[in-house]
Amino acid sequence: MFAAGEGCLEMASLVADGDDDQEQGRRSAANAAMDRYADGDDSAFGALYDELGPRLYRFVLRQTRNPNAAEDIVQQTMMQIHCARDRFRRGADVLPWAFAIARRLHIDVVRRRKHQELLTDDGESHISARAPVTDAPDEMLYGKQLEAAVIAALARVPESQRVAFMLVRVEGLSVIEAAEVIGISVSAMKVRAHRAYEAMREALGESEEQRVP
Amino acid sequence: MMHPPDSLKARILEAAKKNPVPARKSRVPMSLALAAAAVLAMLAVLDFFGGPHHADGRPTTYGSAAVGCTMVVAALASFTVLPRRRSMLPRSRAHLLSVAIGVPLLVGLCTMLWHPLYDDPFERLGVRCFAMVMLTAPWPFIALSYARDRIDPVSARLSGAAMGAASGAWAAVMVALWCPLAEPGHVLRAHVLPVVVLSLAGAVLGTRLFGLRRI
Repeated sequence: MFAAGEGCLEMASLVADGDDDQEQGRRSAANAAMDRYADGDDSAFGALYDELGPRLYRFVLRQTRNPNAAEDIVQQTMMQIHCARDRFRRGADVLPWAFAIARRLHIDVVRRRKHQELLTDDGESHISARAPVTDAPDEMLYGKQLEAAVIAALARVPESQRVAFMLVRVEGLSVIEAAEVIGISVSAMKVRAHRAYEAMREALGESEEQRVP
Repeated sequence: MMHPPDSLKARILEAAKKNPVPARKSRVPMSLALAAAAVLAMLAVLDFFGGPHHADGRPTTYGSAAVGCTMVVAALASFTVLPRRRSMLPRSRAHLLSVAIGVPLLVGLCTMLWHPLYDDPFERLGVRCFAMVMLTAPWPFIALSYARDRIDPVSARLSGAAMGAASGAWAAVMVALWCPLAEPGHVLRAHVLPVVVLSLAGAVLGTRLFGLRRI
């Protein structure tokens, strides 16, 4: 039997429990596109964007909660990748690198804008966790409540844990890759991701308990 | 809306088209050429200071041990800062920090370890040793930087610091070949301190060399 919070996490689809083969296929496509682009095939940049852009956007949007800022950071990330095409190591994995660039750019933006203007609530309404699709009104209502609970719970988790959680559980990076993205040891990444997971589970457990009388 | 607008892709493709970047070329030949040039430049500096005969007053066994130990430290440090296969990202901050801090200490230890086993042939403040490290280190730094050349979005400053320390370690190999002294005061002043300075200089350079570029 699921703990209440665990059930919420499953329903909110925040935990990357998708098909590993599909993820591997997407990743291979991104790596192949990057290698083609680095080798001089200009048309591969569009394919690379198709593989990376939406994932980067989702990742950054969850950090900034501001669609305009997220677009700007994704554009800068893709341009950094473009400018480094001649130095891209053959056979290297482009996804962790792209996430690391996006994260650095986000940190730089936050540092530049003191008082973390990007973390204000003006973009919150644009965020949507992938709530379960259903026609039942009570399920839809619950989905919306859950969505709000997920967003609120994510916002309460410290930034370092939130990023760890999103990279590992949402974006499907391995713990080793996520550790590389943040620049910490694998064991430290495991601790961060676990703490974030526990915090999310606790927060969403409360939400589940409120629903069930 | 968790999907980017379609216009974003068009904007990015347009921006990339306006700023063309050449395709990838193999960097191995140039990296090897720079590594060879760095070795020659370091040997030239050693020769400029009088060559390894300056260390004749030191027992050969201890001299070889000091040089060998320092070479191992330099090789390990270089291995840590050089790019890994299948990854565009550096090692963890803890790894890089341990190189930046640990290499100067290990370099000193490799020389001081033998101090109780033989008498130093003379005493020196260490100005020439210091100068020798500072003149020798830039060459391996250039070679390592070229081989490492890629943006480091995670820890550019620490990568630079570790690279400075690794370069300092290679310079310390030359100094270990040249300098017969193992007295701790001299070693700390003239062999360890310059590697610390190089590590700090590398941290400053690292941001410029490996940090994200303004586009």
